[in-house]
Amino acid sequence: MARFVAGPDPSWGRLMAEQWAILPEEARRVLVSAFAAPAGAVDATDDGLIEGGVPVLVRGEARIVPLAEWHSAGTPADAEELWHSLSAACLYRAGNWSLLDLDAERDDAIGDYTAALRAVLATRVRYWIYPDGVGVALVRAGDGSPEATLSLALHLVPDGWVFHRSPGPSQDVPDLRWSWGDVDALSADDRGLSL
Amino acid sequence: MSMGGVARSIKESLDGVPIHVRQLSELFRKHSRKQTDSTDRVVDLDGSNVPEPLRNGWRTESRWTPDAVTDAGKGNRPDPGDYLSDEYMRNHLAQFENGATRIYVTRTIENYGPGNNQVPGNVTNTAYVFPTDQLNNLMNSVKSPQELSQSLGLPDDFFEGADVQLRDFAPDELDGLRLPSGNEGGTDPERWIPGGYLPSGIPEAVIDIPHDATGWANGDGVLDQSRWPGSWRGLTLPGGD
Repeated sequence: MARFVAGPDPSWGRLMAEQWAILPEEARRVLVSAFAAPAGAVDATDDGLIEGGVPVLVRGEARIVPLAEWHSAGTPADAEELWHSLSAACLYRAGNWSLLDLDAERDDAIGDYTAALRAVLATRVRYWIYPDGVGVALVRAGDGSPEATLSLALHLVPDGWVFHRSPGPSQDVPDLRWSWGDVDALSADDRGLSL
Repeated sequence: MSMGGVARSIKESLDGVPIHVRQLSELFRKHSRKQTDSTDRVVDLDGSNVPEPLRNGWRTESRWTPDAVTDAGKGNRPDPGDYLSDEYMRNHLAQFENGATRIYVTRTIENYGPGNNQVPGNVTNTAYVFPTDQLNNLMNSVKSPQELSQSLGLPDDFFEGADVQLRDFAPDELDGLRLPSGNEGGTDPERWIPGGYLPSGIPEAVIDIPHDATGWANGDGVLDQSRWPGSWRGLTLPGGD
């Protein structure tokens, strides 16, 4: 059974002002050891929890792994640690990251993905190109205002959505929004509490 | 003269320039523009942005063009000897005679060691390196971490709040020193170009790293730096204290 850490209020994944949520330690370990691309996430066809209790949200061709969510200007230490650990693992797997230009206006799949990221208030996106056509993106989102919700997420997308040497054709990119409530719902399903 | 006239004039003046040089020029222009986004379109036809040694280093009889090498993709690219002359490769590697250096993210080297072995079949374990003396000169000449990262083909935020370190490999530690084929682990799929240079013109090569030079996450659960070639050196960023 997956458990999600929420602090300082220990209630299940609940996020209130000045609180935050992050994947449990086992899920973080699984993600890092799989270089941010566990097979169960890449191949997921429906929302669910994969091995290690890693939540995966399926949005069209995108697979979203929520990593952390919080309210406050600063990033919680554990979320910062996860960002750097996943970056280090991806760097070893696929070399230096690239930064996605979130201001780019393009008429291809990169432009469509970028627009979808702007819609979720993404502020920084590091990405890597993996073999077998997988683009791995670490996404920071949130506008930084006092009442804003900030988040980290991992996106597994077709490489043509990010790879400038081989951009895919323009297409409808799904809505990439998510909240920790989506993660809670997966956990509730996992515990058999869903009615 | 109109811009069209300028472009025609440049194009005509390049009629005698080997096609590989023009293609290399386009590769360097395209990938350096991706980093700086400031190169004027007119230099599309200007071969001057190809590092001088490379202008005459491409084998004229090679069936490989620069674009074909990059487009072949990681794992399928030819040996550099298939398209670069022996003299060019000798001269290129001579730039490393005083040793080589690589910049590491501390967390990455501690977790995985100094090599990148994520290549098909995992038969090699290599690291990209720069000539130590040229890297030192560069670090002394740039004014900001951003300028350093751009010069080294690194992401703009590479040094931003980063815990990074240098590792110096002495001349006798450069096992298997060779030009990169672009198949090596850690090859940047967005920026790698053939010829042993970054798009910014900094020379690079690869060396072999022992397979037991591992870290916390990919070895036998211990961090034994005595297995690692090279020696640690702190990195003082320009503009820092």
